[in-house]
Amino acid sequence: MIRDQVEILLIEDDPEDLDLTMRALSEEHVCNQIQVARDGEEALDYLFCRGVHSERDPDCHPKLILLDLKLPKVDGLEVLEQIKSDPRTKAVPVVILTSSKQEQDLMQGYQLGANSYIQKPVDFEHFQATIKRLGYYWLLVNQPPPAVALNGGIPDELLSGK
Amino acid sequence: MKNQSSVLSLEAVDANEGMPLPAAGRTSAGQTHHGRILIVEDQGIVATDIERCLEESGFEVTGIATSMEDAIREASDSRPDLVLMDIRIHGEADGIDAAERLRQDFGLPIIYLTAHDDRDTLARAKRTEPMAFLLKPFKPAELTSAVEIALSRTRAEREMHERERSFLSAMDAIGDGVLTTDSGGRVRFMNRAAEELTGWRQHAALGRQASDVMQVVDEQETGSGGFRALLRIEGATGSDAGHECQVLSRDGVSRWLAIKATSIAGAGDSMIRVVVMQDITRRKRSEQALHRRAVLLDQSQDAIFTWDLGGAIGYWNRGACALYGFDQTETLGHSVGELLPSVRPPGEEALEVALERDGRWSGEWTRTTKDGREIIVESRLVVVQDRARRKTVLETDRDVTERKRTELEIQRLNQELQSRVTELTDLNQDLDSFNYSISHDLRAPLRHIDAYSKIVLEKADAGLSGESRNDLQRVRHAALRMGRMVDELLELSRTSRREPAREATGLNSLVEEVLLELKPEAQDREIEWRVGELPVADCDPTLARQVFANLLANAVKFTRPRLRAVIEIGHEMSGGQSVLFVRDNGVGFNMKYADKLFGVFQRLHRREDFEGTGIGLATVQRIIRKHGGRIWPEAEVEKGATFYFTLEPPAVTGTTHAGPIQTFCVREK
Repeated sequence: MIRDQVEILLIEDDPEDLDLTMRALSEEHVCNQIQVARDGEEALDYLFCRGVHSERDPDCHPKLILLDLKLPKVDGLEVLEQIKSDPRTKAVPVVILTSSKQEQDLMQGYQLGANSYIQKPVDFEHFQATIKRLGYYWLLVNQPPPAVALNGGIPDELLSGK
Repeated sequence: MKNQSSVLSLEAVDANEGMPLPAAGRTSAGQTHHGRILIVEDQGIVATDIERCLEESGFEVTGIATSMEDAIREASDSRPDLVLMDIRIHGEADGIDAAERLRQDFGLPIIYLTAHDDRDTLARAKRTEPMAFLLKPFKPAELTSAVEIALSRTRAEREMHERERSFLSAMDAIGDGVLTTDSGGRVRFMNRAAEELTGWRQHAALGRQASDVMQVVDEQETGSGGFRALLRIEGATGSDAGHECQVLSRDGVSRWLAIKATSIAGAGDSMIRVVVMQDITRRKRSEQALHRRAVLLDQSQDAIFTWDLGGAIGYWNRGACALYGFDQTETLGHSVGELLPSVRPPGEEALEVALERDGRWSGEWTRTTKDGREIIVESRLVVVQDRARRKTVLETDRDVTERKRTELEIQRLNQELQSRVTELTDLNQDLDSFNYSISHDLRAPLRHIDAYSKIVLEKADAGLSGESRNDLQRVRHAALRMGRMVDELLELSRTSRREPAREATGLNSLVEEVLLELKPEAQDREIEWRVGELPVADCDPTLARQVFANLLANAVKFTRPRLRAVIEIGHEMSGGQSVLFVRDNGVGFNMKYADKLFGVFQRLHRREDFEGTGIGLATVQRIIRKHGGRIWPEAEVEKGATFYFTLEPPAVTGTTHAGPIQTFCVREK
């Protein structure tokens, strides 16, 4: 089994956005291991070790998922729903990173359990700053859930704080 | 005198000697004599002679009396048909007195037997209306023929009297009044009914003018010349139904009578007018009641008419004339089905079935009027049964054509509206997807333009001329500007779709918040803020805040050339309405462009002078309209601008309030 050290799963279909996000992330040296999924299906395959990712260690999860909403095949909100409704993945922080701040996207995103919602600023300098702060916060400042949680070993009640 | 009589008597006796005595009423010599005769004669022999003579001729002698008292007793006991009376009899009273008594008490006809012929006696005797005088002496044949004549005359008179009595009782028995007059119009006879109807007793009315006995106070003009003409001998007989008059009786009762008259021949050349009268007061009253009702029915706008089960129209009111165009002469007695072709909605049960079962029906049908118009009537039918159990349908119709047309029009408009709503819903859905798509897809390329321009600027730092760097900066600005426009357009769209969630909103605190937000832009500027006392408004706080944010940002922006900007936010009452305003001493604008101010992407200033997307005021106007309010500017070039607005629908005008109308819900905090 290959134990990879993926820190961020970046789900993004737009090549330019992908490029710019990667640039911002690498420039600030916030993380080294980035796994990219170009559509919703690929993202789910990776997370649930299916298809080309069937050899992956199922106990190993990214520290953060950056999720675009408009995605081919399986839509971003649907990917989110599957992540948050599966005990193995629901503890993984998901940050929605998207062009729109449409009310319905915001509402549904949070209702489905998104941990954060960020609109990509048009101004690249703002974008860079945002990505930098994002990585810094989620990977360094924030305390990740314990490994046992990521393996689905913690009962729902505990996770929901009851 | 005595002798003569005796001789005669003897003769008579002789003539009948040896003949058997026939029983009274028996047939003798082929003749029947129904005669019972009383003889009043004081001379026994003469009496016996006469008796024998009469009996031989088949008469029955009921007795022989010699005095008036005797005669009365005999008459009372045996009730003879005829009395042979000697003028000279026993007792104080003579034969004439006796005859008078017998005539009066028993109605007996008298034949006098007398030998006297003095004038006075005969004159006295004559007054008793005798049947005959037989002068003594007389022959038996003279006696019997006189008796026979008297008896047959008596019989005839009695029969006539009998007939008259039965005629009179028949007359009295009939219900109609009968009155006869002579050719002079004088009353000759009235039966009991006539007496009751006129209040006159016959004996009182006799000889009076019929027109006095029957006092007509009202009559229905029939063109026959009226009541008086009817009384004339040569007058008409009156119509079949009779001439109808209201007659005031002698005892003051007013009655309606139907009168018929006819002339018949009387005695000799005379003519008798027979007037027959029938009491029709009851019928007349119900007719008048009906007439009054009919007058009332005529007042109705509705068409009201009746038809029997054969369809024949029996009543037709004025409303029906107006609705269908046919007058009464065209409808009464005619078939309703032929006159008024009707079309009922298909699928309804037969009218006859409903009428038979329920006795009523109501519904709508299409009828064709006289002039061929098709109208829709709302119809109510009720089956009415009269005393004779005859069924009549009472129909009441109301023209609902116009109402129906309006209903159809409303229905059509509603359908149209519904399809518009559907269209709008579709459009809104399109707009939703459009917005969504813009929000996601349109911003991405802008970000990329900006990002890669920035990257080029950084990477090729030294290799770029100042001009190229400048150009790249312009590319970035353009991208950013378009990004803002997209954002604001989306904002405008969102605002347009949002229904205001009204609540009591303190506008002063709202303005304070906006001023805080504007601080960065107002930095390094000298701005005098004059914030007046603002009301608490019933509005959507989020949207109201957007209004102030836009207007105040504009004020800050357009006062930039002023060394000292003055921006005033205030409130005043105008026409009973609470009006808010934002005033600045900025560059202002020409009022002739005022109508362009609120259009999307409409700008009155060059971009290099004042930045902006031209969407802000459009958004402001949308919000205000959503609240039922309005916004209007007042400006002059280089002298500043004022934006007035209301956040409430205008107050209802036409009421006179002493104070200003509280369009804003002002609450003390």
